[in-house]
Amino acid sequence: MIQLVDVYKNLGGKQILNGASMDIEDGETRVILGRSGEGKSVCIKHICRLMQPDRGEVWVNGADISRLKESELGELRKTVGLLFQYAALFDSMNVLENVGFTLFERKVPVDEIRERVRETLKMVRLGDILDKMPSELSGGMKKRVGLARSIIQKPKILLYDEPTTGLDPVTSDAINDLIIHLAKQLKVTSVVITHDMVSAFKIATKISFLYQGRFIFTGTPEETRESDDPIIQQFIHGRSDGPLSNM
Amino acid sequence: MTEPVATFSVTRNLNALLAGIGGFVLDMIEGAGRLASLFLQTVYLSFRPPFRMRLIVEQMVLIGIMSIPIALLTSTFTGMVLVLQTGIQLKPLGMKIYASGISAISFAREIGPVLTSVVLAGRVAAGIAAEIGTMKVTEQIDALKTLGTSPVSYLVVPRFIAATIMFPMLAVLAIAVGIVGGFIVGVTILNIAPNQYIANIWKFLTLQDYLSGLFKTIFFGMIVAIVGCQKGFDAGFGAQGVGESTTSAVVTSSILILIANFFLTTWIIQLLP
Repeated sequence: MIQLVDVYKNLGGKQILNGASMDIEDGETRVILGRSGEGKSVCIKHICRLMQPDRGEVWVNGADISRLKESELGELRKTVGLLFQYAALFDSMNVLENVGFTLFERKVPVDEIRERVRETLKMVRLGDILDKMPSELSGGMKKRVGLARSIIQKPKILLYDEPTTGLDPVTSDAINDLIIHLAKQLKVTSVVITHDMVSAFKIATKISFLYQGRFIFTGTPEETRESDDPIIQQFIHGRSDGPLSNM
Repeated sequence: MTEPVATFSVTRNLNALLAGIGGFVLDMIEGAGRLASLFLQTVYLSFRPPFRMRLIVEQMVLIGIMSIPIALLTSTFTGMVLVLQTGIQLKPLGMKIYASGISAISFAREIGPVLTSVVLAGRVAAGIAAEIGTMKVTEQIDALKTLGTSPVSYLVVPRFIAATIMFPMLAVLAIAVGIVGGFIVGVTILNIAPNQYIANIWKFLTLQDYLSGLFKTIFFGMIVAIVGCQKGFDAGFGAQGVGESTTSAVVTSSILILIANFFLTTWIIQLLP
């Protein structure tokens, strides 16, 4: 279970999170919506402890991770995987070294690493591209390799930062299917940030809306569609006119 | 009516000036604190597993072997100029034969180590800052953290160890080549007899001169690696941010080398007068 309790975060003098609270149950696929710059990425960076709150608590699997020391984060790192917006592959390493990074660090024998990397690439529907460099991959392949790197340790929580941004609709849908497939196969809790409403309604079990540093709405996709909140309606229909435009 | 306005304007300008100076001093103190903190973390992690020998060797090649041409070229010509200038100054006194010994001492103690380190700072600190800065803006540093690997242990420690080992090695070569460059000028332009030139080097130059110069380059290597890494971690957004961090890495490491050189030299002279 993931819990954000009254989280405040100020970055460069701007109040990004302003008392954000959210509960995510095990096995859920929670989609976080909100305008650009509202703090969605900041939110998931708190869940994997890339950031610490100025105030408030972040609970992951029963531990307040905002209070943990750097040296106590080992278990958290194994249980939480993050797919970055642009995959963040190590550009000096090939696919084998990227995906098998944690295994190479643990000095696992190379043959075993190869085998596990191949298996993981299959899970994200990629073939034998172990020797390819990130610069030789397309945008969709980079995201899949990034995803393979995140799941090779079999995490319990997967965080996705705009997984379909910059991809064509067909590739985007393939990534959506992959998110659903991995959630079922690995039984992970997923938290997905996206601006892609097709993707949001397809993959979400619940949707939360972040507005002015707080979550102002949480509901199922049906509840989101039927919400009478003008902010939610303007956002999901992508209208330029409405309360979000008057900010 | 104009006097209070003028006084107000002067006060405002003065306030702005003082605020500017205060901000600059605070930034300097904060920057020094971050460098000291990174240095201590790096030294601590250098002695803790995992020991990444492959990465250390890779960095030794990048920092050391790849820098050989620039180090040798710089020291050869500087050695030549040094002997030429010293010889010309000593000639009216009838002492030009001593140009070799005097130049060799100054080259081994000061010019060789400091010049080589400052030139290397340009290449190495800039390279490190650009690489780590790019990794930061493309979220590769965050990716390292989420995979449970400390960026200091993975990125800084190998560069720190490699620079600490390779700077003295490059300085050994640079000093030797600088002296050879001086020999060529001494013999061909100043017309000093080769055996006399060499004899005077042996007469003036001691092992202590050579070692004191090399000893300093250990610290210069540490400075270049730590400053390069810290500036990379501090890089702002986009290409401009990486560019600024690269420039800052070169300027800061060069200045710190010159400042450290003064204190190290004072210390060495007290220890080995």
